[in-house]
Parts: sequence; C-alpha cells; structure tokens
Amino acid sequence: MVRRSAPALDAGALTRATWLGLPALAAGALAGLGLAATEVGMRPDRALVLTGLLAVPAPLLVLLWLPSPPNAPLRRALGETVERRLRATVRLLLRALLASLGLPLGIGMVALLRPEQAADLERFALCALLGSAGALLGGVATTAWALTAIGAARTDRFEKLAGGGVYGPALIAPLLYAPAIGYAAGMMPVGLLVATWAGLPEPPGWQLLARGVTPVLAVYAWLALRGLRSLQPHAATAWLRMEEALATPFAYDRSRPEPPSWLAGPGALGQLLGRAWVRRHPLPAAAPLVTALGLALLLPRDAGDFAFAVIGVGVGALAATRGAAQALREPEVAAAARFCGADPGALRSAEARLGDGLALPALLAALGLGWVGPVVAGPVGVLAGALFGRVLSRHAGAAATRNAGRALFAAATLAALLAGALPFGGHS
Amino acid sequence: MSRLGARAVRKAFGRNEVLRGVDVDLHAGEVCFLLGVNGAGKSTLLGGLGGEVALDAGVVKLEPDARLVFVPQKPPLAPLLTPSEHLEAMVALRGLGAEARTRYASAAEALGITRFFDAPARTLSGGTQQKVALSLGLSVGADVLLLDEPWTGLDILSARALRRLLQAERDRGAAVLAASHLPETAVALADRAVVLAGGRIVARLDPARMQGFAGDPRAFEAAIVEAMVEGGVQDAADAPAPQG
Repeated sequence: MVRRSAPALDAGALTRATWLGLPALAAGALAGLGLAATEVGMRPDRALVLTGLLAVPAPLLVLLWLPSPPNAPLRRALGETVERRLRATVRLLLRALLASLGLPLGIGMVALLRPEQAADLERFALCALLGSAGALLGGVATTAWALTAIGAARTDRFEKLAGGGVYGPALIAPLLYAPAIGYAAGMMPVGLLVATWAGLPEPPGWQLLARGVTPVLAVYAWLALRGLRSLQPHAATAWLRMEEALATPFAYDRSRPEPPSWLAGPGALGQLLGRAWVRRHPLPAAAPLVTALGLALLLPRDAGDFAFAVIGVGVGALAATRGAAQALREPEVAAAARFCGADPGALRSAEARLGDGLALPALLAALGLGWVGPVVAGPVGVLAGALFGRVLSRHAGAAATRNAGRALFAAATLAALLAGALPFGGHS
Repeated sequence: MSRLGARAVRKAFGRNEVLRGVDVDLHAGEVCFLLGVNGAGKSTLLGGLGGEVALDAGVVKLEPDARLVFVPQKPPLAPLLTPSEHLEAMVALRGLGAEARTRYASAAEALGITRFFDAPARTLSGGTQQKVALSLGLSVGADVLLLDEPWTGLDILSARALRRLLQAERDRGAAVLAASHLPETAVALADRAVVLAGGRIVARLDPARMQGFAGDPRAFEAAIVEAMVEGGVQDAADAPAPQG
C-alpha cells in the first residue's frame, strides 16, 4: 500500500529538493518585492493574484508526471511495478512540497529588508505556502481520481464536468480538467485567508492564521494520499490507456481548427499556411500575453505608463516576430507548400499576408493591457512593437528576427520588473 | 530531345565543391538510376534539377509544358497537416484534375497508407511519411519524376509496390530519375544508370549494358564499385579488417 511503502526522503532527494527550491526562493523574493511596492490597501488583492501565479507550476508538475511520466514505455519494459511508480510519485510530491518552502523563505528575505512591512509580507508568505502546497496536493488528489476513473472505465461521472471533452478522446478528457480543479480547490483557502486579511479592521496575527493553515494542509495531504490509494488497483490499466491515447493523433481527431479568414486570406496557399499556423499556435501569442498580463497585475499601478509601455513593446515585438519568423517560415511548411506546387513569389505574398494578419494578436494584447491598467502607453507600445517586428521580419532573416524579438521581450520584462521593484512614480 | 537536360552543372558549399560539371539527360519513358557513395552529390544534383537547390553554374532545360515533381529524401510534408490536406493543396495549387485523386488513391492503396489519410503527418512513422510523399508525387501525373532515395524506410512489400508504380510511370511515358543504393532494384527496374563520384559522372550504363545485368545484381554491383573506384572512391572492402 502507498502509505506503508512511502519512503523517507534520502540525502539525494533532499539535495534535489534544495535545487528545486532555489527558483522558488527567487520567485518568492520577486513576488515579495512586488507586494512590498504595492499600496497598503491593494495588498490583499495583489497577494491573491501573486499566490495564484506562484502556484501555477504545481498542477503542471502533476499533469506532466502522474498520468504519463517521462519514458513511461521504457520504465514499463524494464519492469517498473505500480507500487514503485506510486512510491516515486510520493517522493516527487514530497520534494515539490519541500521546494515550495522556498517561496515563503524568499518572501521572508524581503521582510528582513523591509521590516516596516513585515506583517503583510508574513501573511503573504503564509498565502504562498498554502496556495502552492494546496494546489499541489489538490492536483494530485483530483488527477489520481481522474486516472482511477480512466483505469476503471468509469469516466461517465466526469463527462458533465469535462463538457464533452472537445480536445482529445472522451476517455482521457477528465485529465485535462482534473489538475485545474485541484488548483482551484487549492486556492480556495487562500481566498478565505485573503478575505479575512482584507475584511477585518484588525487582521489576526500570522501565528493564529498558521494554526488554521496546518489542519487545512493536513486535509489536502489526506485527500492526495487517499486519491493515490484509490488509484493503485487501477493504475496499470489507466497508464496503459494513457500511453495508447498519447500515441494516437487524438488531438486532431475531434478538433480541427480552421484558419480564421482574417489570417489566412483567400486561395489554396493561404489556407495551407493558415491551417499549419493555426494548428501550431491555437492561441496566438498566448504565452507572451499571459506573461504580460501577469506582470501587469504584479506591478504597482503608479509605476504607470513606463512599465506598461515597456511590457507593451516587448509583447508586441514578440508576438509579431514569433508570427513572422517562427510560424510563417517554418522550413517544413514552406517545403510542403513548394512540393504541393506553390510558386515562390506566391509563397512570399501569402506569407506576407499571413504576417499582416498577425498584427491582430498584437492589437488584442494592446486592448488587454489597456484594460488591465487605465493607461495609453501600453497599447501604443504594443503597436510600435508590432510594427517593429513586421519591418524587421521583412528585412532581416527569420532567425535574426526571432532572436531580436526574444531579446526585446526579455529586456522589456526586465525593465518592467525593475519599474515594479524600484520606488518608481512616487509610490511608497 | 530529352525531357530534362543538364549541362556543366556546378555547385559548391563553401570550399566543398560538390558538383564539378555534371551532364545528365532524361528521356521520356525511361527509369534512370543515380548511384554514388554517401556525399557524392546525388541529393544536390536532384535538388538542383528539381529547383530546390540554387546551382552555381550550368544549364538545366525542361521540356516546355512538362510537369516536374521532385520528392526529396526528407518527406516534404507540413507536420500538422494530414495527407488529405496535402492532396487538396496539391490539386488546387498545381491545377490538377480529378484524375489526380484517382492516381493518389491508387498509389496510396498500393503502398498501404489509406488508413492514414486523416492523421497529421507528424504522427506518422518515417516510412509512412515517405509513402505519403511518394503517393502525392505520383498523383501529379508528372512528365519528369525526380526521386531521392525513394526506397529508404520502406518495407519489403511497399518497396515492391513502389517498383511496380514506377514501372507504370515509365509505361505512361514519364522520365524517372531515382537516387538509390539498391542493386537488386536497379537491375529489376532501371533502363539506364549513372554513377556520380567526386562531383562528376564517372560511368554511364546504357540500356544495352543494363540488359547484360538482368538477373545478376552482383555483377551490377561489381560494375558500379569498379566505376566508383576508378572515380577516386576508396573501396572500404579493401581496408584491413580490425584486429580483435
């Protein structure tokens, strides 16, 4: 049984957890700086947002590991038993929990530098610990239950929850939702904690809060272990079904996004390029947009126009250059288009048209940033970045354009972080 | 007059001169094999003839209105598009008629890939991708077919099916130039063969000579090796065996 066989952490595991904890420490310190630079009245809200961002890796880790760990077929071929794999999962869980201690430690380091804000930072540290541990344990619990349902072929109970599972076979659809549900469940106590923090005229001390947090985490840990135990008899079947599902082109059997007309343009070549682009990038510029929105939420509002402008420039440039250099000129797509009979001149025109269509994601980014903060510099920066990317993509090589976009985005991110961390614009 | 003719074709990559004045002619209704050691310049020559590689010097002439298809060694498929979508693009972009679909279906059936029509190319094995690319190439009804290592990655049944498909192409009147290392296939299929070594054509085996190898791939192999050695290639079989 899992409980009996769960091993203690050995020295190697502790070392690995320490290494994993370093990024958590850095993230905690950055988040602490962000909170310290926030107006007192806005701190509970911002603490909730930051905690949510800091807890995102936990369900991702669960999703990457538990349903289908790296080299699963090889492990199975080498005779890895269900018990050993579940033990490995518990070990990973413990290491991740240990690593998550880096978050409150990083925030605590900021508290040492800003003693006048220590009380709020300590509460934030508690939120971060509760959020990341809760999301991890909640993610394990829900994912293990989803795998149990898959192994036992009882996915009907998840169907309503999964909404029919339009992306992938219905059999494994629960898995796409389980870690997210676990994450949301893990965030609920944080929401309560923040509400308490914001609502009470005299917020309770963190010692009192800590006494409340411990039993909550214990309940989550119990749920996670119970989920793993329920998985044990069905694990072998569930993992085999996962391997089969992942080995098939499931993602395209039921969902075939067509290129939007504004992007692809008319003609067979436009359709070919547009379809290839849309399938590779289902959410145009999603990664930079999410990053930018996260940064925008993290920053103090009165860091203002400058910060939003630099984020905007970075997002716009990256969106435009990603589109122009990475997607349009993928060698396989161009080679296929030529093989299918595309004239090189027509190919260039279609690529240019597709690139022009990609200005729309940049515009959406501008609107998003404008919504997040009532400033105009961000949208202006986005559009400037998009124009820069387009011009660069026309005159420079694909690789140079892509690298320039990445460098600009990195520089803009750094500048925005500095703008948030430093006493900018007169805020305290 | 040849369907496709190349004269004094040259190509260098930096200081590495890969083609040093190559002449090739392809005639209607023949299959010509292009042989040579790895790195001899076969792919570069085929790419140059197919318009995929920019040549440094020389002339390539294609018969007016002749349709040319070049299937490179790496299947030219967009990873996220299905074979059916490639076919649709091919039909639309090349302005092909309904007979293209028939030819494609026939080739795909012969090569055993009909069940993969709606799977994205990246989910297919290397051999299956190769078969898809070949089926697409054969769907065009080309006058000139340039094939770079078309048998690579194919199973025995598919290799035999491809041989039959290429025989049919020859019977239809197409000119086929295929780079390959397979003596058995060359003896069974090729009307002519040319051997590339050191950036030059070092041997040309005409139909009469090829007839002489009928049923005797070893003799053909020996002739090719001899031509390569005369062209300056060191025969690895002559090297001393490693001492255990």
